[in-house]
Amino acid sequence: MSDAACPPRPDEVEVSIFGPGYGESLAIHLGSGSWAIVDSCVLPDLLTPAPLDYLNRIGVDPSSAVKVVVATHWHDDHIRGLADVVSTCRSASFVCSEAFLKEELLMLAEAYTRCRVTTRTGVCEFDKVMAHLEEAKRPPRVALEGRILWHQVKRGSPVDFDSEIRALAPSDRTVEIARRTMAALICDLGPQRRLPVLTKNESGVVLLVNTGPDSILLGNDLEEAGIGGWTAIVQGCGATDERAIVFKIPHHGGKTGYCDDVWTRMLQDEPYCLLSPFICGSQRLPSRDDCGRILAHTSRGYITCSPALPRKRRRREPTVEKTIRENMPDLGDVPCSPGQVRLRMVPGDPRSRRVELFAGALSLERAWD
Amino acid sequence: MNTLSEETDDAAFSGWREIIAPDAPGRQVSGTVEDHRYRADLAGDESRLPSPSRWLSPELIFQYQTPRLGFVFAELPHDRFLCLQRWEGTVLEVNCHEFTARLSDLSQKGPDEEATLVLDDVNSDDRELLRPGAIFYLNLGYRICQSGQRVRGVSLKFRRLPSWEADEVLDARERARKRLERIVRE
Amino acid sequence: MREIKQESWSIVIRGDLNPRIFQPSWFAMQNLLGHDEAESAKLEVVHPEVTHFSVDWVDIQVLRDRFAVRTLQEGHAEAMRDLVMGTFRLLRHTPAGIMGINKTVHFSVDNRDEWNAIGHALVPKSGIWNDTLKKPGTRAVLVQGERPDEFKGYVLVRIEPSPKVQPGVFIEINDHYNVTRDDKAPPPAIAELMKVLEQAWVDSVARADATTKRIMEIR
Repeated sequence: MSDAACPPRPDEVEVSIFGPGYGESLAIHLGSGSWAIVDSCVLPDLLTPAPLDYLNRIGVDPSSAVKVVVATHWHDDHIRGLADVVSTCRSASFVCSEAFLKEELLMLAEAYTRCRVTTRTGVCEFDKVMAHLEEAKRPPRVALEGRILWHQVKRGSPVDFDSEIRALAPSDRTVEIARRTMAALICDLGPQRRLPVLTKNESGVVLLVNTGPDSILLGNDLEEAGIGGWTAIVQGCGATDERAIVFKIPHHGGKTGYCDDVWTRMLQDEPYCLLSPFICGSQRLPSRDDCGRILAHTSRGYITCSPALPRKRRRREPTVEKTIRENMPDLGDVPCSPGQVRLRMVPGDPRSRRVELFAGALSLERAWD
Repeated sequence: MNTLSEETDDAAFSGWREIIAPDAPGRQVSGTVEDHRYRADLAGDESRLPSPSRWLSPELIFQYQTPRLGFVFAELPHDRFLCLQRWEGTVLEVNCHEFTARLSDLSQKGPDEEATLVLDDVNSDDRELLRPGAIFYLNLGYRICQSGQRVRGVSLKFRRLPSWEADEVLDARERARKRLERIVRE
Repeated sequence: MREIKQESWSIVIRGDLNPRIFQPSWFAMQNLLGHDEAESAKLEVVHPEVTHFSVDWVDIQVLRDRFAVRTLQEGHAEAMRDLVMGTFRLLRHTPAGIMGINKTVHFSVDNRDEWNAIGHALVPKSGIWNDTLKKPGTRAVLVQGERPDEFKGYVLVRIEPSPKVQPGVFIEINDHYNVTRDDKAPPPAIAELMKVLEQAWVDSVARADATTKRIMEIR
């Protein structure tokens, strides 16, 4: 077992997932000290986004070590703190879906940002990211199916390996669907409403990270939508001989992100499956059934914290407490845990693979205990 | 302090004193005080600003060339709500009899909270506004009756702001378009 | 223990207005007030020169040269702000260049000695007052300060004995904003003031709350 605060060796690949209950983010070591950050989330006690906090703790300088920052989609739970990440990781390319660079999402961002009394929405964070890119003259790299987003070649050392990040989604078609969805949203929204949390994700970025002979499939929040979604990926550019050994489960394990073909055609047997829960209102993902569905495919499932985390009531004056008990008995802090699942492995060496669970992370079998 | 000031309930009016320049012409209004039911002060003499209970006779209004209109707000109601705790909320889900919401404490900074609220706490006027994403203000406190009796309760009010107008949308589109032009792609 | 007994917020805008527009039914039609709310509004007057009505939580008065809205119940300051913003998003071409965000508070003190101590702390009687007046008492204190932000205007604080709460103290804080280019120029469209309202609201409220707290701590 390695020291929690130790960085990976240059020949080790690492996938770390952070998921406090609402929010998800990944930090990936691609070998030779190069890192990628996918999405962003913030723990309430931290002022820093979770992946930046982690890199600082293990002595990695994100301003030089992070080569790629990917925003898979614009939902609030995947984008909090992203502006901080982008501006801190000065050496990184910023990658996003083509849908980010359509007028419609930018319009929403402009409209909400101008209306300063409606704050704390995902699009406001997105607007900050765009403002930074504009000011710093950092051109974003667009993720589109089949496109190679980043590549690092072997340097001649025996322990080095080629690394590559490739986009499997979105496609032109899903970008167009997203654009139309956004256009319809604009008509329906205004400063009296925040963007609803639970909107469909049709055009998110799905990544395949190849590190030597091993592959990591990052499913972000993509949902299965019949001819769109995962089916299209499996039949399209996902249909290769590369079968991933690590799978970031899409959509927090929910059934709308499940596609049987992904398990049978894109993943090795008994893959390492990482996921974060989604706790929002009465929604708790993955449900017990969702956990069962995943565990039917692999025993190696790991989650950053339990989806059954209770709400904790904070202390207030007795009179206020009494009124709360009478009128809102289930009031409590949004459940939150600083959990992290960390997988490290030397590409091509199955015996080197090890999973570490920190700060409330647990195996999926115990998620609902 | 060992004296009481004159009635100061018209506090917002006193905020206007700086807006009304001493020599600004007022307006002559036809009709009687009873017709219009407002209070008027004596032009040019702020120190004689009457208390709300004093009325000027109709003759006095027309005696002065430039009466200035002074207003007092309605008395704060005797039956009032004493607020102990305030949140701004966002609706997450709406079910048959209840809805869940994410709450941000306006009384004291802290992490977000969540709660389930009953639909009965939403007044009939606001029901049509109740949908995912809707923003509301939630107050917890006492309703104090004129008799002094206190009853604990909640008060919930949904945000009412007009949706974006067509020209605002066009304006946002234009700014978005210009921003896209400035963001160079790789 | 010192306790706030009554608190109220108001927004006052000076501009060029048509009071007749601002009837309860208009607000209901624009969805700025609920329909039932508007139906049960207490209507004082609707006239080309003045409109004045109230619903259970807010009082609205409009003259030709000013628009004023005040909360009648605690906890509705943000809703009042929204009402003003919503009104003038729809009437965005109204010429108006001056706005006040105002807070009033009546707070109680434990006894008359404490009450007098506040008056003496604000205006010490030793020296000029004891020398020139018999039994001097503080009647009112009015202090103006510069704006701490980029906007034109000032902040005015008034402190008096409270006529509502005895023994008690009344505080009024007037946060005054001015977006006119100069005194002779016509006022700009109110959209500019509404931007100020959106940007400045949180800080204005925080400042007024901090000032209130500070005054309440005077011993």
